[in-house]
Amino acid sequence: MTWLIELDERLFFLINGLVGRSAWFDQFMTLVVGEYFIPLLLAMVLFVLWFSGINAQARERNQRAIFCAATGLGFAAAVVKLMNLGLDRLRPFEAYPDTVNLLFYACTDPSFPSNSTAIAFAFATGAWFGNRKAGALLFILAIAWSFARVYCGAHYPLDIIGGAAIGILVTFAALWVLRLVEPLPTWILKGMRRIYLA
Amino acid sequence: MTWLRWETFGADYLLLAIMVSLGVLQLVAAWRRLGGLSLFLRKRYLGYIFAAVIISGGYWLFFSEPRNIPDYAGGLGGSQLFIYTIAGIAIAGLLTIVASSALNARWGHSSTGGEEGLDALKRMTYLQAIKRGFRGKSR
Repeated sequence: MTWLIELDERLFFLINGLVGRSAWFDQFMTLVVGEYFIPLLLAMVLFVLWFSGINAQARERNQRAIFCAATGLGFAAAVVKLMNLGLDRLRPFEAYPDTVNLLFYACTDPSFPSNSTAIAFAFATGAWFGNRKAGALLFILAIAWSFARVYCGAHYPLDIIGGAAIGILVTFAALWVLRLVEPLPTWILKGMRRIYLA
Repeated sequence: MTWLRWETFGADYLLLAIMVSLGVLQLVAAWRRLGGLSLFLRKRYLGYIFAAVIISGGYWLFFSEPRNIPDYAGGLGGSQLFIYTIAGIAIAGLLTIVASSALNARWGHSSTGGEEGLDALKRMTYLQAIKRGFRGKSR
């Protein structure tokens, strides 16, 4: 495991070491890294997906994918919370306060796994089940957000990989759970269609 | 109930969520030809322009000051963020339904077509669709 941690930290310093080379890129990354820019974009892509589809069947597939993404989001947050009880990896700026370039605020929760990455990848995986294009767009946004977390000194790359794996896996679990509780999602969709919301 | 406190930061984010959701609704109304949700029924291109202006305006307003603030110093936590986003979407949805139903009151054809769900909004306003739904039930 030591070699993996060493490799992880080396990769972190390679990426975080880029800070200061371009003022505008640093500025852009401080915008992307936050909890408001990318998350709202992710939510809005799903909002557009709710109305998308060439016919009623395609739209229903998209809407079921949104249910899956939302369930995956809940599962991802719960799994990360549980893991935080047992794992307490220090954030890069805590472990190396003199060498890390921190462009974000000092987070207080454990570094591994990345909560934001788990949530973004849960969103993207859920959307992917219904619509490949929307899913691909959300994966790009999730990767951009995750890269910014490392660039700005908030996470190690391994935290990101762990978060992404959790996000993807729990959304598969969410898909399974939604099939298990069928016909509940169908009833909800039918009810919403009856009041012209789906 | 600390997560429901009305703080400046929360209010700013809620305004952002409302503005962006309003823009997205006009974007999909123009794109999916959902005349019943459109505020610009006769000129669809205005829907796209409105969406671009209100979405970029919302982001510009919100990010015109530093926003990387932790939840322990006045920022929003994960659950607050989720609640404010859903509230923003709901408020924008309600505003759109009310405004489009009022603006397009003379346009819709509530007695025609048997479309269900969102497809009904291609031919009538939300209010007309709801009225049609009630009429159908009472028969």
